Amino acid sequence: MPVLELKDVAKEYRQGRVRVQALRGINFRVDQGEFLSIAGPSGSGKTTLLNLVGCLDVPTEGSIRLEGRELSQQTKTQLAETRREKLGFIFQSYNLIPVLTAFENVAFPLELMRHLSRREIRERVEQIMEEVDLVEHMHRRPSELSGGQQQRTAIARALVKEPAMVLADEPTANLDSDNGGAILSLMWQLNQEKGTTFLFSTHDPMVMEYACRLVTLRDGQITEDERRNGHVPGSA
Amino acid sequence: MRRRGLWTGLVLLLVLNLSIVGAASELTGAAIMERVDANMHFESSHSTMEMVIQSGRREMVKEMIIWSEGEDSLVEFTNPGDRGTKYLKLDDELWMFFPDAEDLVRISGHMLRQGFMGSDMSYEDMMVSDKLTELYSFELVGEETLGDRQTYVVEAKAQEGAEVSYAQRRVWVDTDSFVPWREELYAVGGRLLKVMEILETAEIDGRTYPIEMAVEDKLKQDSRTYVRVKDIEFDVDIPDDLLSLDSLTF
Amino acid sequence: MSQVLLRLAARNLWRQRRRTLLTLSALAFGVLILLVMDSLFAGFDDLGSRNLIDFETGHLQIRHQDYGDDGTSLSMDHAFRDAYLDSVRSTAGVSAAVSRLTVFGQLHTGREEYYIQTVGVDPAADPQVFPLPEFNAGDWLTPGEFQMVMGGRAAELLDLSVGDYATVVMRTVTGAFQALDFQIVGLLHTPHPKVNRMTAYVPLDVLQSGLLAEGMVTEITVRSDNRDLQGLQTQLAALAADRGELEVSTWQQTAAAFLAIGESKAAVNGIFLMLIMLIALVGVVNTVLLGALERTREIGMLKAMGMREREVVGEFLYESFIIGAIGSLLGCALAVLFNAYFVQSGIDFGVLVGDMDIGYPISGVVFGVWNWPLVLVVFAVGTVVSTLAGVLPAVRAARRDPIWALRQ
Repeated sequence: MPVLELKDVAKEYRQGRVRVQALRGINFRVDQGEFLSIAGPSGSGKTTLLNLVGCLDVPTEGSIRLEGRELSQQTKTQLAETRREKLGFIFQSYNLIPVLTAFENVAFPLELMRHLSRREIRERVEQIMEEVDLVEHMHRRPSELSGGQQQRTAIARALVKEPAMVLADEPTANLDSDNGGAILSLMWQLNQEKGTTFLFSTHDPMVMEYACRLVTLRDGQITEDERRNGHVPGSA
Repeated sequence: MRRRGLWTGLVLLLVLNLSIVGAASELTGAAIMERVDANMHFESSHSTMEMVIQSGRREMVKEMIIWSEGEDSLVEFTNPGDRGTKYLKLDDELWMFFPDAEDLVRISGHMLRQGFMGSDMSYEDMMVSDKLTELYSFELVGEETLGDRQTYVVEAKAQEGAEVSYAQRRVWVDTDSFVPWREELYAVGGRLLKVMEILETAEIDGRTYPIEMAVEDKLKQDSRTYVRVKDIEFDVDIPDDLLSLDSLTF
Repeated sequence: MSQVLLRLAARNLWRQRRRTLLTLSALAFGVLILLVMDSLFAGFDDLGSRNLIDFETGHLQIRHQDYGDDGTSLSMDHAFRDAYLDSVRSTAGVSAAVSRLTVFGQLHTGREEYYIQTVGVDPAADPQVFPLPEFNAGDWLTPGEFQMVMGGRAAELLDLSVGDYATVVMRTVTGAFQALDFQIVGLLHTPHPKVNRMTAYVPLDVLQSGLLAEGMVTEITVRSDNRDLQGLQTQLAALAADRGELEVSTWQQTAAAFLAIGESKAAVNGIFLMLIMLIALVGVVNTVLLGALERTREIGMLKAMGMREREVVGEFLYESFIIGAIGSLLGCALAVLFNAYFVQSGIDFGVLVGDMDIGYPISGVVFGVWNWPLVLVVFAVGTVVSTLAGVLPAVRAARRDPIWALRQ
């Protein structure tokens, strides 16, 4: 079963009296473990597509299935539940809760799920913090962390619940190339080790290079869907 | 009460307008007082008066017009400060009218005991028109020379249970003209409270009538009120509705 | 989860310390004012009542039914022959009883004339009902002597001191003037302004004979330890039943006007409570609104992560609850501190009011009164209303579209 499947998906907005067709005839699927990137100029519908895939919005037409579950008819509450259980988000501006420590930020999604004990939560958080190499700093607040460290916290947060898919919207945009590279490397590692599916939306050519699959959007339609060998760090 | 009027005219009218019932065969105290009364008695009168109130260094001057008939009388002030203020006595009711506020007030209770405008007579003193012989018993206690006049000295004591303000009085009455030149008013126990003196008289309609008098409050330092009759007519025709409440407010 | 929300709420409040503190303080202040005012008003009432009882009405009085009706007629018209004092004294429940003769007179000092309430009292027994000697600078009265103890303020106005003589002109039973001379032997400085300003006390026997009113009195006043004044009132009424015009009144009946003030105080309290709640509401709503605004993106993120709307609302409600609870608690604590002082030492209203006649029998020190039930109520109401005040802005913030929110 593919992790994500879109069939004939279209999304229409109303801006005042004008009807804007943001997406039309979108068909594609994502399998487990993929590391893919969606690219396209602004206005291409990239953000809209991500919102749909991220269960933040529903399509006007078509079907979206996440792990076999149909999303297009879900209510707001159901969408929230899906997001809670199945998705991880990483944003360009980290979006960490400033009054919580890194540890607490990462623990937060697990708390939301309510069915884990405190001990379980602690264990999982500690583990993921190790994997992103933040153990030393995990009891600091975001304001006390560097950009790279904050993004790593965000990654840990996205991954701690072992989601079906991680959506990353311009994750490297606020980082310098060294940090950006490190972040990407980390995500690639996690993808390889855990098999977590990563879906990027990006302008950053470095990200696009890493990706194993590049989907290009233009004017609300997929114009390219290219599979290739991603640039694996450390390999030729 | 800020503004109080005084009828000194009424003092003259009332204190002296005594209708006394009693035999007058020889000169008893009562007989003398009867003669005093006869001299002052009239059915009606119309007069103009001036009143000067002295208290310490302050002095106030009031002027008024008085109409009187039987038990009723009307006083209207004409001096600038009190112009238009009127008092009406109907039998034993006393009313006061304030022109500015167009307010008509009945004076009763302890207001009656206040002195008018800082003068030395109280409203109540003015109100007494009951027969004095029914309230007092008179006794001739002797004769005295007052200045250059011969006078009878009559003592009046309040009768048992009589409701009068002054338990005792003493009057010096001219042996010829029966003008009561001096009167002293006493409290229970004999403390001298007030002294009234007639300063000047005039021949009017064949009577010797007082036209200037002074009242002194003996409990206050330097407190004196003078009243002067500017002119007076007796037995005049008073319009029927003048001495009524309507005429006050109209 | 609620633990997490609470932790979030506390930390969010701490992050905006100044704003939180301000809102908190406003609430605390309102609570403080309400509680202190309640205490002082109660103290006022207490003092006023005590003044009435100690200097005017005792607990019960036998008087003529028209006595005091017409403010101008407190005259000898309402005096009666005192045949009752002994039987009153021997009635169960009566701790003490005295007769008094009260008349109005003019006090003459030669230069001045002053309206004064002259009260004939039994020098030996009167203090059992009216504690005047405690406030008397000088000597107390001796029966049969022409002595006077007068209000200190009146003496001041007339430039009189102990040892001076004053003449009082009054009216006898028949209305004739009587002028009596008294020597001032004492001056009174009581908590009751009327006593200080317009009253003089003389021996009853002297006054009665001077006014040709042997055996006459205007009131018999009773002091009682009974809670049940009504019962005592009925008993005493039976004693004086032979004279139809006499009636027995409790101090509350005599002082109806004064008590009306006390009732309006309760209304004032209610208004204050509402005002405080308004402050709480406005402050809290403002705080929550601002917080929600500042954290729009954060809320968007939380919703993106799948946080439920009601959890978002819950977090804000925790915030408004904390403000309400701490603010109310602080206000109550401060009120307790202030009130402890007032209950102990009181406020000297003589200094504030001075010579003004505020129509209230108060002068001197007013003490605070504890009202614990009110403290609890105010704390509860302050907390609850604050919490609820946060609901609307919280719900609004929670319902925002996360996509839009994230874009801010």
